Amino acid sequence: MAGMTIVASSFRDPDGFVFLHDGVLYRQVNDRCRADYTRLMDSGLYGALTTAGLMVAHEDADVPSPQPDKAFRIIKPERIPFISFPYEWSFSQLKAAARATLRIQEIALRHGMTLKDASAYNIQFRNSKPLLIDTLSFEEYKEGEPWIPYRQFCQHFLAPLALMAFVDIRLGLMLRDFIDGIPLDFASKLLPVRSRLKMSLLIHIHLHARSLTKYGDSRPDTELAAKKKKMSGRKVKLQALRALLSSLSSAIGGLSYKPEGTEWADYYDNTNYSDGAFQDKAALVKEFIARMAPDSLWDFGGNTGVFSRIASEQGIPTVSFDIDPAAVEKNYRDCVARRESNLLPLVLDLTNPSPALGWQNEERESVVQRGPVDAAMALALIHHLAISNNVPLEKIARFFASVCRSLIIEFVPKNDSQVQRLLSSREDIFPDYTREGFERAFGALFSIIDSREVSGSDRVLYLMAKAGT
Amino acid sequence: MKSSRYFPVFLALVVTLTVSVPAYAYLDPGTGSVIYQALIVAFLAAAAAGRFWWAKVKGLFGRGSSQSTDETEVE
Repeated sequence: MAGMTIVASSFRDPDGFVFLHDGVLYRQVNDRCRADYTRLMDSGLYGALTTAGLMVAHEDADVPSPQPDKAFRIIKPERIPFISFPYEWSFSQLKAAARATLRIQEIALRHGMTLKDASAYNIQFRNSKPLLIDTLSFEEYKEGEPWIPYRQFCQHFLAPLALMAFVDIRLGLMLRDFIDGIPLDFASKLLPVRSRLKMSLLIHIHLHARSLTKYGDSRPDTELAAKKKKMSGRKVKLQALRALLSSLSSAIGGLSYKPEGTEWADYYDNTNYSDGAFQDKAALVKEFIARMAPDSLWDFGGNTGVFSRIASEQGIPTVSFDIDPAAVEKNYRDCVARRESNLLPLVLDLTNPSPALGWQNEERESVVQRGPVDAAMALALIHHLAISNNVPLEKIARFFASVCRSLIIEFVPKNDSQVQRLLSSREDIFPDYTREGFERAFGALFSIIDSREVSGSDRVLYLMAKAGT
Repeated sequence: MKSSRYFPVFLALVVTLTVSVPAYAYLDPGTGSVIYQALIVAFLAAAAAGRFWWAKVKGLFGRGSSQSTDETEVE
């Protein structure tokens, strides 16, 4: 099938799948989903959700199908500039995604439909707002049915948010290990005793976990199996289902996190840049971005997004990566407060970036696989990679060459006070960490188009293009 | 969310301990979760009704329930 690839992450749902045809993304609606898809479109639910900006819009498409025998329809959804994953989101991003999921479910119920799954991976961010990208997540609501994704919602959203709020913000990274959300018994064990005093967490995590363990025994012909059978058939009335959703909404709303005190969240208050040097650097970055005119940009070590915004405010879809969840949280809150478009803050440790995950390591792409991006930016970053993390300059250059076509990168020399700070507690084993060594390493893979000294400092800003592009 | 508010309806949970529903979705909801959901919705619905009537009673005595538990949200 020339030019056609089924996207590896869409294999679980028998109702359809996503595929690429000549680089354009399409979704096939399988024939078994005909009734639900028609109901979604005809009931007014699709219109309500897309108007509210809660679901990705689509149009009918006329392209060949990779599996024509199953096809009912092929649709072309609006493309999301960058696909991100829950383990890359800050606290408020995960919380916003949770609230969007519950709101979508409430609106669906009003249209006689229900979400059949509540995966955090079905939510993406566009213009600082969460939206559902899985058009086939709905099925007809039948009065009396329970909410099937209840456990999944608790695992994907409530448990990680509770752990981040009650224990440590870095526990959001556990979503990388548990691709179907944090198991509730595990979350229950990790949460402090005082979390049990919060009624919503007691109900939806602690007691829920106990019930899963108690009824998890699948052996037939036991007393438990008989009891389970006896219990089957009980209905969940619509009003009761709404009470469940409302309770989950309160549970999510009651969790909070204050981003402060980390090294990076307070970075711009502690940096040794003078105002003049800062302005000069910003002007240089702006000029270099204008010269590259990229169609997308990734800013590595973006902190709270001050320099990322130079790109995003010009309409360039920009991802602002940073290792510090507090800085990313601040960045996202600013995006929301200013209703910003084109900027997506994400948590990423460049020394151990998001790997490929899931079945055959193909379900969730690594950061590198989601590239290459047109342009990358690495300001005040290289000394952390080369000196704090002992990565040789050649390897740093190789990484950037694998993710971008052009690069704005700042070299921070050894005599800079920030580098001196890093070296103050360790032996200097970096004889090659010089401007010449930097230019040699990067010059092997990039053409250096321009380099300028940042006034008021010994730092140098480079504009480079990957050799051969 | 105040725990005391739920105390009367917690009793409802105790007397409703007999439930579950078959699972036939593509997503496995987990037997324990479905059984548990059917249990707690009775409790949660009773709690919601309790809150509703309590607000009415307070209204009768001129004490409007202007308090909101929902914080200003980043969304």
